[in-house]
Formats: sequence, C-alpha cells, structure tokens
Amino acid sequence: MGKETMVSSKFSVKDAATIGIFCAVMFVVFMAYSMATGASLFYSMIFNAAGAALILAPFYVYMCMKVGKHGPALIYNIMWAIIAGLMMGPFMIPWFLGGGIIAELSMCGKDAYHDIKRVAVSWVITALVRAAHGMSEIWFFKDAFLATGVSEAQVQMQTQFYTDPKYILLSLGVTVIMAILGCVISNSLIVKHFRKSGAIR
Amino acid sequence: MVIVLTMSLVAVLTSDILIYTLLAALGVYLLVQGFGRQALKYLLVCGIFIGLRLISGGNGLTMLMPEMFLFMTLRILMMVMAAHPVIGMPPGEVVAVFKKIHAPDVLALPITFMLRFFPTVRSEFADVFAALRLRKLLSWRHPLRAMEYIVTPMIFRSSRIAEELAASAESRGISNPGPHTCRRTIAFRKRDAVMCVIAVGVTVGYFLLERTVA
Repeated sequence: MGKETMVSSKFSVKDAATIGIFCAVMFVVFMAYSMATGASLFYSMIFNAAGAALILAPFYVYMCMKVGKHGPALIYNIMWAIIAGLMMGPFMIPWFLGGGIIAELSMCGKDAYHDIKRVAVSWVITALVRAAHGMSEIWFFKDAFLATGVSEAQVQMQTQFYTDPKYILLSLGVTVIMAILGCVISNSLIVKHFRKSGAIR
Repeated sequence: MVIVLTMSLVAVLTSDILIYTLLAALGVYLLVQGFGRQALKYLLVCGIFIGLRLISGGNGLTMLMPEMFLFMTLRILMMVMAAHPVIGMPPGEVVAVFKKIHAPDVLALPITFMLRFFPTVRSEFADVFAALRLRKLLSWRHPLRAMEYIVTPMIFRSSRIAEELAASAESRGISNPGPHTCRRTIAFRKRDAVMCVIAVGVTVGYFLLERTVA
C-alpha cells in the first residue's frame, strides 16, 4: 500500500473504518442487551459482563483478525473509556484506559492479531475490565461514585455484592468462561465462514 | 464543550429537581441547534421515566424496573441529548473538526467512522432479522445456531460497509498529508462564543444550586 493511502506506517484508513464500525456495532449490541437484561439488578451486577463477553466476542475477534496489526484492543478500550466516561462519570476513564493498555500489551509480538489464543487473552482482559468496573466504583472511586447522585439502596446493594468474595469470584469467573467460550465460537465462525470466503486470511 | 460540561454535571448532580430541569435545558439546547423533533422525542421519553420514578417514590417499580435502571436511563438520556448534535454531524465536518484541533488520526478516524455508522446499525440489524424471519431461521430452540445466523451476515455487512466507507474516504483524500478543506467553513464564531458562555453560566449555576440543595 502506498504512502499516500496510509494514515501512518502501520495503520490504514480501512483499518480505522473497520475498528470504528465494529465499535459502533458492539456498542449498539451491548446497549440493547443491557436494556433487555437491566430489569434484573442481580443479573446486571453479576452476569452482565459475562453475557456481553459471549455475544460481543465474534465482532471483537473478527475486528482484530481483519485489522491484523497492533492497535484494535487499545482503540476499542479507549472508545469504551470515552463512552463510560460520558455515561458513568469521568472517574471511569482511567479504569478502561488502563485495561486497554494491558489488553494491548498482551498482544505484543509479531502476528499476535492473527492468533486466536492471543486475541482470546486480550478479550478476556477486556471483559474482566468491564466486569470489574462496577466493583472499581466501590473499591477505588467510592466518593466520586457517591457524588454522582446514585441512590442509597443501589450503593448498599453494590457494596454488598462487590465486597463479598463469593460474588466477586462468581462474576469474574463466569466472565472468563464466557469470554473464552465466545472466542471458541468466534473461531469456529471465522474458520467456517470468513476464512473460506477470503474475508480473513 | 456542551458534552464535557454535561458530563461534569451528570457526575455531580444529586438533586432530582436539578436533574429534571437540566433535561429541560438540554431540550432547549437541541431546539436552538435545530433538532426540535428529536428534542420533543427525548423529552417525551424523559417524561415517561421521570413519571415512573415519581410513581415508584424512588424505590423502583418491582424487580422489572429497579431504581438503578430508571436512574441510569435518565443519566444516559442526558448524555445522549448533549451528544446528539455531534452524532448527527456529517462525517466530512467531523473530519474537518478533528483536523482543525490536530487530533491524532489513529483515534479521530475510528471515532468519525463510528459516528457515521451509529444511525444505520439498527437498520442493518433489522434487515438481517427480517431476512431470517422470512426464512423461518430465528428460533430460541437453537440459540447457538440463531447467534450464528444473526452474527455472520451482520459481520459480513459491517465489513463490506467498512470497506466502502474507507474507499469513499480515500477517494476524497482523507489520508492526504496536505491541508484539508471543508465545504462548510469550520470556525469558532460569535454565536459559538455566546453558546459557550451560556453553557458555562448554566453549568456554574447548577454547581452552585447543587451545593445549596445539598
């Protein structure tokens, strides 16, 4: 690809379009899923991120493999940091940003974005960051969280669940399992449909 | 600026009456920006959720509508209202703005494409669901198969759209290293300054009122 068609030496406009569009799809799917399951407070607090890790995995895996170079994990998490900052409060931005940096660091090395195991690791990290963001509100940002005007009942419930090791392990454990399961399903879809059609090499 | 100010207010406002009046103020902001119909729609949805909160007395409506859900929905609506004019901006203008503020391409381009695609995601899914319903392939009995039937065409469509948008952007010189021009002049005008002063004034007013109420 010529120099004039590159945004930088590594990142093309097509890559940016793929990341932007798949981020939009994942955000809309996540919002629809959260609205559908938001009625149950227990599910929202413990299993929301796990379900999201399963249903968003195919989009994430495809996005990573299609771009095939460094950046998607970090940019995806930066997008989430911006959205979380807007929706939940600016104190959430460093949390998702930190998660994005760790997820991107897990992809160090050549051709990592074409290796399903490496992509799965970055997806598990991303899913864990999302699963633990509610916990982080109680553990690290409690004052900022209380200042958002959240109801007393919600803080009590969140404190009850997110300070109990049993529920924390349940939430994070199920999230890891669902994220891995999501990547397994995504890999089978990639092999069955996208590699065969030439959409992914 | 309105988005950032709203974000800071959403993070600190605790009084219900201030939240409700801020929603009304955002409605006026959308009206001024020329999004009257959308403002009415948003305010109608806000009215429904405020009504539900008032009926529930701050305790939520059964387990199907907990207080947290109603509270979060109102906060999200506030941010969506503040962000609406930006989401509705033509992609060319978004690119011009990013170029003007020297935002890094690695972030500016995905955000531009994301904003461009947001309004059409729902119709893309609707097309996929309509096709699956026509072929009677949507079933809860086989959730994994249903997931494959939904996700695969959606990924193909999204990927194709990404390629088309990238090609279209390339043909218009998006990655040209030289100076970029825009059909509409992107400049900070007097009316923008007035709007900023009003926005800052309203934000400061809300901060002071919040301190008084709290």
